[in-house]
Formats: sequence, C-alpha cells, structure tokens
Amino acid sequence: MLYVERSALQSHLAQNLIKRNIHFELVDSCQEVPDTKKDMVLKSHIENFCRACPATSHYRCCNYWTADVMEGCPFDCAYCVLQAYLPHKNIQVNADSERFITSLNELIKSGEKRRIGTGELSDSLALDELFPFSQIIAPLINAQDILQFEFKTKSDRIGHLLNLNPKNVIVSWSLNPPEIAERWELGAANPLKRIAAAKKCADAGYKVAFHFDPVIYYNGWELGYASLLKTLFDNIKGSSVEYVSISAFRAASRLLAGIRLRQAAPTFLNEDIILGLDRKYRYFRGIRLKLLGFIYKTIKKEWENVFLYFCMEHSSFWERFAGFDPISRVGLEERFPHYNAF
Amino acid sequence: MPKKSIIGENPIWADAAICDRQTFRWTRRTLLEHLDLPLFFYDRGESKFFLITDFDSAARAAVQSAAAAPEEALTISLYSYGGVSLREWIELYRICRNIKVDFKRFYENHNGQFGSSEDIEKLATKNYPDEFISYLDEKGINHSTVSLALKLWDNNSDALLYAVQNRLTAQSFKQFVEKAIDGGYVFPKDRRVKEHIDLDDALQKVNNAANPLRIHNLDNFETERLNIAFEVESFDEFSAAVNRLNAITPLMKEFYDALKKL
Ligand code: SF4
Repeated sequence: MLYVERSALQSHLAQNLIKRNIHFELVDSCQEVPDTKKDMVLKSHIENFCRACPATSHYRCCNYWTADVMEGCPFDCAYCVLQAYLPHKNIQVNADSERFITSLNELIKSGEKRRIGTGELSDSLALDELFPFSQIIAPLINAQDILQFEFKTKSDRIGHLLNLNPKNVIVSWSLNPPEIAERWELGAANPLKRIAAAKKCADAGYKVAFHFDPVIYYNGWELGYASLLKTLFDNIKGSSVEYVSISAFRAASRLLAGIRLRQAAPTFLNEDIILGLDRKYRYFRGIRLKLLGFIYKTIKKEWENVFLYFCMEHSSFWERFAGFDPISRVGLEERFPHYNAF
Repeated sequence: MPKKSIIGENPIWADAAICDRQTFRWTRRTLLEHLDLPLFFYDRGESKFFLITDFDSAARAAVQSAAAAPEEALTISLYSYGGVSLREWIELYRICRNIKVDFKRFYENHNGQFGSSEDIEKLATKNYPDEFISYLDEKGINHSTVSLALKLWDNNSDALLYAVQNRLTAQSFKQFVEKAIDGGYVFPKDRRVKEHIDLDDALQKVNNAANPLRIHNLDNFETERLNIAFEVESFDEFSAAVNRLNAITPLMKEFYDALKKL
C-alpha cells in the first residue's frame, strides 16, 4: 500500500503520482503507516541526504558516499544489513527532491571527486518506476564531472535509464549464483535477468559494475560462482566494466541475531564463522581466502584491466591477491577509475 | 516523566540526556555499524528520545549528555526504566560489561531499590518470563544451564538478547528458545573447517611444548599475530624461558607454515 504524508503532498514526487493516477492514502505522519515491506510512504524530509559511508574499523574501506533518498527495500534478502540498521521495515521515501538536488550540488561545489550512490539504505532501482529518482539524478550528474553516481540494484528495472545520457552514471548489480538468490534474495530478480539488464545498459553506453557481496559459502560454491562468472563474461565485455567489488558475508552481532530469527534461518550461518577484528562476524579467514581468491583470480583472467577491490577486507587479502595494500580509505579510493579519468 | 523513579528525582541528568530524533538516528547509524554497544533509548512521546550513550566518544559528541561517568549513564537508564525486568537486566548487564563497570558493585549500590542481595544468576532466574520457565521445565533444562548460557554472552547469546529486546510473543519466544538451545546457537556445534582445526592443533602442540610459556592467538587467526606470555622471578627463570622459546622454534615454524597454507 502506498501512503503520502500530508506535508509532502506538494512535492514533485507526490504530484508525479497524482499525474499518473497512482492511488495512495494520505497520512499525517509516516508513523501511522503499517510497518511491513509492502508499505511505502512518501514523507517530508529534514535530514541531510548525502553522507560518507560509515565503513568499518581494521579492514580496508573505499571512501564511498551515500545519498539517502529512500530507507527500506521491497526485496527481502536474508543477509540484508537493513534488518538491523533501520528502525522500520516499511519503505520511507524522502519527498524533498529539491533539497536532495541542493545537497548534491553542495557536494559538487566542494570540488572533491567522489563516488556516491543510492544503494546503501535501499535498492536504487527497485522502485524507480514509482519514484523516478534516476530521471532527477542523471541530468544533474551529467552536467558535471566531480561526482560519479552509482545506481546499485538487484532488480532488472532499467527502463528509465535507457532513455538517459549515461555519461557519469554507473549501474551496478549485486550478484550471487541463482541457487543462493532463489533461497536468500527473496523478491529480487533472478541473477541471469540482472546480467541481461546489465548487458542492455552496457549496450546503451553505460559503464556497469558488479558486486560479489556478500559472497556465500555453501556446498558447491565453486561450481556456482564459476558458472555465474561464465555467464557474466559471455554477456559483458571487460571494457564496459567500471569496477567489481568482492566481499564475503559478514554481520554485526545484532544483524546475526536478526538473521537467525528469520522464519527460515539461513543455512549459510551454519559454517565456521568467527568474530572479526571489527567485532563483526565473518567466515574463518581460510574460507574467505578460498572464496575471494577464486572470484578474484577468475575475473582477472578474463577482465585483466578491470579494477577489482575487496570491500571491508583485511590488508593481507590485498597483498596476497592484488600485490599491494591500499593502506587507507583515500589510498583505495584513488585507485578507482573515476579518480584517474582526467 | 518516567513512571517511577528509583533513584529520586534528578532533572538535570534526565533532561540533559534527551535528544531529538535526528540526533538519535545519526547516533544509531554511526554506532550500529561499528560497535557492539546497545543504545538505550526511551520514547517520551512527541518524538523525543532518551539516550544513554555516554560510554562512547562518538555518541558523546552527538548527545548533549551531562552524565559524566558510566555509572551516571547507567543510573539514568534505571531512572528512566523505573524498575528492572529481565530485559532491562540483560541490557544493564551487557552495558556494564562493555564499559567495564563491575555489575555486582553497581547492583549493590542500588541494593535497597532492587530488592534483596541475591546474586546475578538468581536475579536473572527470578525474572524469566513465564513462558521461558515453562519451556525450561518441559525440556528439563535447569536454571544453572541457562545461567551458563548467559555467561557465554560474548559469543553466542546475542540471539537471546534480541529475542528479549524485541518482546516476542509467548509462542515465538518459545520457538526462539527452542532454536537457540536445540539448534546449537547457545551451545554451538563445532563448525570449524579442517584448516581451522589444523591451526588450533598446531598452536596447541606449540603450547604443550612451551609450558610454562603461554602462546595465544587473540584474533581467530585474522592476523598472524600471536601473544606470548611468561612470568619470571629471577634471572634463572628468564634464561629458562628464553631456552624454552628456542626449543619451540621448529614447532612455531610448523604453526606458521600451516597459517601460510590457508
Ligand atoms: S536488495 Fe539490498 S537493500 Fe534490498 S533487501 Fe536485498 S540486501 Fe537489502
């Protein structure tokens, strides 16, 4: 069910719903909206839209920025960090797109090159047909060269993007083998459909990116990831790929507890999971080395020049597979193609 | 205002710890990803939140709390809760551990307010929800087993905390306990992969030979760092320890070779 806060009714996004005859109910406050993943509310917004990703201690991070246009996601991934991170299950969409544009403009004015995206507190494209943020964001992003914007998704809803200029916009997909996605990424598009959507975007001139995150350890993982990667290579040329991130499953204790309490408690928790240096639970290092090493080497063989990075992983992984340690957030950030574009 | 004060009125602390929704959410976001710290908050209506966060510097920056010491922050939390149920007790116990406050001492300071001077385990047992007690009876699990589970807090009782914090219904609580105890979460099964077992064994071998030197891995083999500890009271003991260190060199090499093979 879709709701709109009375105070957000004049917003561009609410007016857009009215124009398209999309039915919604008016509420005084988003607090009145039922707290399920099926409920969405367009609400007025008072906080900053753009902020630095909180990252993690002891492990290497990439200095990413996030744009919080929406909190909550219609998909239901078993491992999703939002279960522990957000105080609500419903989807709260921030209506004040003018303010959002202002905060993006402020970032641009700062003159510092940054990578930023909407995929941290939601899926960037899952609801793009209803709330067309891509159409608001792309023209603004393409009028400058400071920010590179990433739409990160597990959907195949790329309709709006195909009519836009792809210049400084990256479209990225999180990928896991279909057998994992079917069980633990409920509601998300089948990974093969995600790859098909990526191909369409690449054909339309977009740079695409992929996130092997979280990589899941399970019986048959090697075959599963090998076949997923083969499909990816068969469809996407390395020259269209901006970057690939690789990272194994990890969870803070609160998230881990939440995952265990899900109706079908995921079997991927029944593995050798240890408490990491940042007090997040993750697979024993030996398992991570196998998983990440396999994916890293397979990709490097096929897409030799694509920038690969480990998200929140220990420096020893960098040293072993990439041959260097980025040392700091900035050190890692500077290796992204965006920072070397001119 | 809180329903019942157990430490007497103290409007300065209480008011100082109120923050707005935006600050609350910022703090929550900032802390949740990094730290294993519970955030105490108390909805006073009208989107006011009551944060007890003085034990962390990031939170300290965010919340204009006048609570100068951890004990004071804890006292505020008691003040706002107005009593101690199992849920509150677990949170207090956990927060004491996080900020290294001696729970027993703290508890004794509030003795008159809490009731009798029973020990922590008994206090917990006394406050178990009815459905939990009946589940334990049904399954023949005694209270000391549960106390033990609570003591294993750091590793595996977060799920229990979650269940209590989230006020599950009687039925889902029962299901949860069933999962937690029978499913091996409270007393986890050995899920170590072979490489992990080999490393543990290699380190154990070093330790057996090294006695009285103790060699610990402190980070689940996330790094190659080991902690080597020994005590000496004389030069002779020091020489013996150094010789012992020399004697275990081949075993240490074996251990590091196993680590490199990962
Ligand atoms: S798609 Fe992303 S945000 Fe949505 S449920 Fe899955 S992990 Fe969470």
